[in-house]
Amino acid sequence: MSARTVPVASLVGWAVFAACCVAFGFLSGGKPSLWTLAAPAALGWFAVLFATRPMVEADRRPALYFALSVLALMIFFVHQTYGYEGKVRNFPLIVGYLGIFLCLLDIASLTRHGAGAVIAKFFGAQMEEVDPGRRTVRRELIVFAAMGGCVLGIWLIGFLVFSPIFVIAWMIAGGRTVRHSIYCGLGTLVFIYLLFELAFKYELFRGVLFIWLMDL
Amino acid sequence: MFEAIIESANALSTASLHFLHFNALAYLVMGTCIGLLFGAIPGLGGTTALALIIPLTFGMEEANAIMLMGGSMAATSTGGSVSAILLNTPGIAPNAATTFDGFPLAQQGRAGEAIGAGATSSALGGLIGVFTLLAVIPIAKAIVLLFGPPELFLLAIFGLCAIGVSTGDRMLQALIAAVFGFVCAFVGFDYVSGIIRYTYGVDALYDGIKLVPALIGLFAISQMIDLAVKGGSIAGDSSTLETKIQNVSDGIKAVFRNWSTMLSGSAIGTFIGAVPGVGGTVAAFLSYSTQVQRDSNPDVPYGRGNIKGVIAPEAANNAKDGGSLIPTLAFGIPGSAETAVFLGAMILHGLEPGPTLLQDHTDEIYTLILSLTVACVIATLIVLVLARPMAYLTLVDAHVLAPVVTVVALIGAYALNGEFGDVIVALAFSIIGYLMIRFQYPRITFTIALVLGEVTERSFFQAMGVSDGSWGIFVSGTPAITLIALIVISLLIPSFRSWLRKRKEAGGVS
Repeated sequence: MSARTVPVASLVGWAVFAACCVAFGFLSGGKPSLWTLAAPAALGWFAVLFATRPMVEADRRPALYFALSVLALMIFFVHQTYGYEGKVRNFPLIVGYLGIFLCLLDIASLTRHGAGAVIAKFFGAQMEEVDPGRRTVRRELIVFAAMGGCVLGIWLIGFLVFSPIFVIAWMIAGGRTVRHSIYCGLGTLVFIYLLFELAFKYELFRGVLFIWLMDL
Repeated sequence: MFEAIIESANALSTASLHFLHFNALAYLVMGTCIGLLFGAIPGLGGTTALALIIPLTFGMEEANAIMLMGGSMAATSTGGSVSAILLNTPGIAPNAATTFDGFPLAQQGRAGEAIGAGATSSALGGLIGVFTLLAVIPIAKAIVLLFGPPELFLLAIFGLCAIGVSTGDRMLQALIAAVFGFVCAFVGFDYVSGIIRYTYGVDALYDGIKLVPALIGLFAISQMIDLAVKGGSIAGDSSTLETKIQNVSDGIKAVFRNWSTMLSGSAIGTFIGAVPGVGGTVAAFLSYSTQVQRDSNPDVPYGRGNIKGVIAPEAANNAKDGGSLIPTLAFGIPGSAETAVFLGAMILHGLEPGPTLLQDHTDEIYTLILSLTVACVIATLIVLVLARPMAYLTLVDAHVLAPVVTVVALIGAYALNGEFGDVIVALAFSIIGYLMIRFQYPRITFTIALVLGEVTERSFFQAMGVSDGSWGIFVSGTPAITLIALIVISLLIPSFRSWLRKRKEAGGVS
């Protein structure tokens, strides 16, 4: 995308966003239905995405997508808050609108264009250049999946059975020897059992499969 | 005032009775050991330790729970100094200043002396911080009574802004994190109106997002995800551990010889700690740089193994613990991430943050103060005896640490209420926490807003009720106007900082 088209595309995006804000403000007066408010809210978010994406350099795109996700959440929150009436929604609405304003500033600060740089300096929004190490999206997704798998495993077969399995599997996947991994897994089991079941008398979750078998 | 002092003395004597029970002392020693361990292992830290300890305190007597947590809080920075001196890797961020002279001393074969000096100055600094807290509490009680709902609301906002400023160049993100924390705090039963909000039919959310599973996910599990994603050993090279640890007593004597260094470090630590959000890192570095400026003609240049370069930051580092509890206990505004988690734990035990804490729970507060005092001494003794084995623990691999801590943390989240929904909450918040680390959104403002959300909304509601819906109540009275001025000043600090930096650069160029 050329340097000339970037501001034009962005200007169109911001103009649509402004129109959406006006529409949202107009519709939110009185007793709006949430379905009526959903259209300008969603369109407004896409307008911000459309306006800012060309202005942000490739290395800052992940931060932009995260900031856009937070903005989406804030817009959704404000939208949902209109479902409540009277005093219940007063403070949440203030917080929600403040959140949207701050998110827009955050997104603008990522652009490094004139206004963005000023915002970054005024509010303090400098992104620290951190050594990524072995951090990659693939690696992050694998770790997230492992954590999700851990919770799923615990739900199925319970803490006492799944905990050592998780520790052993993780360590083997991390390149540790099978023997060392088994020692650590069993050590964890003994620690958990002694601390939680014996010392603190907690009955740890046994897993839905175990509960199902007991019911049979 | 005299009555307040008498009342404090009575509470102090009642609190000291807890220390006669074997169980309570055992919990204090256990907390101290956990704090030392988590402080010494780089990447873990005191907040992770507290997040993991909270579930264990459920069902305990309040005094025992406070002693367990107090022990951990007091010992973390002492533990962190061991890895800073022996491995050149600070256990926690505030120990970074200790590496400047601590590690060169270790390289010169004087590791024992450095550890002795670090541990002793930590203990004395910690004691000075705690005694200051003890002296300030009767005065704080009187000040707190001046605060009504509008002032409390503004105080919470000021606390968040001040902590946002302390995050360096990420103030905007800190404020967004705070807003997000408030959003999470709104979920569930609203005590003001009596209706249920933002639950979408999920029964587990009716009581709101439970604080403990959220904190466990946000601090303990997210840290493990970060370690796992980055991979590798935490502390790095084991060859640095080959140094001998001897002449520890020389380090202890050095602290008493350089008592003015220790005293000035402690004073800086206590003062900085009392300012919400500024934290131990600033205190330690400020103390170090003040010492360097004061000592214009040192025997050994700083940065090449001057023992005063260990004493000054370590004294400040531990003294700030007492200082940071002043805003936490007096106003319910946590001074750091660790105190925010601690506040969460106190809520779990029925101790509501805010001005009533000082009025209604004096016994618990003095138990905490005494725990911090005793834990400082115990931590020092343990470090002086067990420095070497402790340092070996820091070499543990992330592949061993991450799964074990994750499993224990998930059990902690579950054990509290025996509900599997809490495990899912912990998982969700661990991912949120990791994303906040990844994209540099400070978790501390999120946590504080999550903890204070209910109190802030209630104060706002009460203030608006009193004023019949007029916003003028937030600018009526000296305390409110002062707080608004402080909020504005704190919001302007990043731009002032940027202006100063620019001016300095321009001066450097010319």
